[in-house]
Amino acid sequence: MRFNADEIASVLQQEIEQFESQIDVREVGTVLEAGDGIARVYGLSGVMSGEMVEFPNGVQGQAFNLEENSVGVIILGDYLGIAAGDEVRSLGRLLSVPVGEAVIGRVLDPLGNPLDGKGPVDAREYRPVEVIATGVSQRQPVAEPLQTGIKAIDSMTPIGRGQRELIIGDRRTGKTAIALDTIINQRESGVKCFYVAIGQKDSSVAGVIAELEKHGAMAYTTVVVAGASSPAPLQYVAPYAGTAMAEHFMFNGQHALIIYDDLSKQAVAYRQLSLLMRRPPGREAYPGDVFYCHSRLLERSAKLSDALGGGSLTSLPIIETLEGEVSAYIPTNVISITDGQIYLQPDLFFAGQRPAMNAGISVSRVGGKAQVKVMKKVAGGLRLDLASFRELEAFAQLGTELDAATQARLDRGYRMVELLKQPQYKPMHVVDQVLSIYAGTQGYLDDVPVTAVPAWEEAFLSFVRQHKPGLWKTLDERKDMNAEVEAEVKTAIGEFKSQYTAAKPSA
Amino acid sequence: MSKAVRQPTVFESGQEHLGAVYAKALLGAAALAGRAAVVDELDSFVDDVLDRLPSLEATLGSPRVPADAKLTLLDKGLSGRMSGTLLTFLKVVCRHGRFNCLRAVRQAARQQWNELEGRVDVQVRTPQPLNADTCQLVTRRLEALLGKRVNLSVREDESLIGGMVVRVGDMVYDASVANELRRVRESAVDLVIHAARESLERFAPPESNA
Repeated sequence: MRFNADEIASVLQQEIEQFESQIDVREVGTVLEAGDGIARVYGLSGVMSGEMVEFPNGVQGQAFNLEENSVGVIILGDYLGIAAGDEVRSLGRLLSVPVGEAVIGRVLDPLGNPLDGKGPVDAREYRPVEVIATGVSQRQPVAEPLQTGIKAIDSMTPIGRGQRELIIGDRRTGKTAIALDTIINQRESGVKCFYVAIGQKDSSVAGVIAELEKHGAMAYTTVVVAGASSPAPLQYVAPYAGTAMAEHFMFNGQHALIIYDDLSKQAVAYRQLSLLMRRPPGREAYPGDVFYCHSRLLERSAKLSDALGGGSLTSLPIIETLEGEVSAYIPTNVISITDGQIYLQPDLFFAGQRPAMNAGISVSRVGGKAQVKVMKKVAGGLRLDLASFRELEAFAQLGTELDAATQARLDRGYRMVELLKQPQYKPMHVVDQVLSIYAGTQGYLDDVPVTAVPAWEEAFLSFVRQHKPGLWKTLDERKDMNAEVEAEVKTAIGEFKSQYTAAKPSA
Repeated sequence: MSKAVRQPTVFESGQEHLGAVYAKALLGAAALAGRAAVVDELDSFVDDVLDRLPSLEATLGSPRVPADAKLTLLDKGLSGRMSGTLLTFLKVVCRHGRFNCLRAVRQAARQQWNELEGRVDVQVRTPQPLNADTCQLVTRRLEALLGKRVNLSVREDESLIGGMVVRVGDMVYDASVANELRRVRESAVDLVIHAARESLERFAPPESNA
């Protein structure tokens, strides 16, 4: 595109006419040493903790360590152009990032700079990256559900708006898949989504963005990227930056969801910074305040009181374990901070159960309060039933002869496990989930072969949508199931079964 | 290591700390009336002796030379040529193996003496040399502003284009033309981006509007 130079000149002229000359007062210091993402600065005697500083090449930093004779600065950018002897100036402000509608649909770095080539972020508002979380009087209990669209999660470990639910598991067990499905499922819920990628391969992040675009989720999603090649300070700051962007919507009475993928990498980046800053190492060489690093971050997720607009920020932090070791330092820390965890197990994953959630040790401390009533009724005992099925299954593998009742429980368990399998990028509406799980738990699938369960479910749900739209709508509107509606559901299942069996007599 | 200390700012914070401790001791040991003299004498010793005889500085700062030999050397070379206070001080510094901090001591002593006297070092950078009248004017204005007597040092810096930059301690007062131009550029770029985002058609050439 060509530009009209006269018009640009008039804008510039207007700016020059309005420009007021003033003396620039700043505090300065001198770089003593720089490298590995940090710098030690002599001077800056009045700088405050967390204050921004600027190096001569325009790169910004943040005062991190205030020592007797020097200031430890984390460099938020390319540190290779900074040399000993360079003048550093304090900027007299805290690290802030652009917030608001302008960041939605964008891919940004932790400082709010665009990485997607779609031009500058035209934000009218900025928000400090580090703020103290809201207090008890400004909150209300979590009670409103956030539907992930994943049957296993919405039925057994429901997530409420304002909750912190940890997704934990070994590498390649489907942690990011759960997060992405949850984002994709927010298309019609109005929840703004933020995906913070920390220390990940750029190729993986590009894949995530492509999937989000493919499913139309980038329209309400912001991706904050501090990849594996980003300096440690940016990886450390990224979750706080993403939270600041998400908090803006929470404080404006809206709902937001943030995914931290993953916090173990952030802890490693923080450990690197702390060790370079000569802070004393503790367990696994992490600094003593690594717990606070995560607790102050996750505490910012909240359900605000009605007086403050009733907005919410739900967070799904991800932690990667090594060989299933959940008792390592960082996993135990984050487990203790969050309101529950979804534990993904490699052997379940490789056995074909996806999502590979271990129902026995996955919990949601908010529980049924964050479930729609109908789901609570239908799936109330599902988690415990499934956990006892797993025990029974292990026992059955010993080759013991089982009585008919035990065999029937096992058979139903196999079908429920099959029913809870769900392909990636196929989140389900809560009414569909309810109908499926109702059919499973009430034994309507007992005569269906285990391998035919997914096909049966698909056909059943399509039958209800086509032939019983009234029932579907009633469930969607009321989100509850009284005796009358339950009878209707039973009739619908009966009708479908007779039709399905007739159509597929061999099944 | 001593090379780094020759920079305008102390680059080794550990040495700076030691320098401040020894400087306080030196000023304390000197009689009230003799403080100015001993600070000047230390300046002269560093500038006129150590700068001209780097081997002497290397010998006195070397850990391989025994302390007794250093004391003998100081006695033979400097006794009667400097005040007793400074000579004793240099011997103490040598005995403690801290001779490599002497330049930091000198800087700290000058700074502490300035503070005691209510004086402050001010560096001024200008694109062109200042004449004596302007220097006096700047000094008087700064003294009125800071409430202290000012030791003015002026340095030329053509990159400033116009105006001047004054540095007092860690504070910099930048009234240079270069800084003004930088600010104009930043705000103009922001303004054009905002204007373009609001109505891009405004910037399209006339023929494409037609």
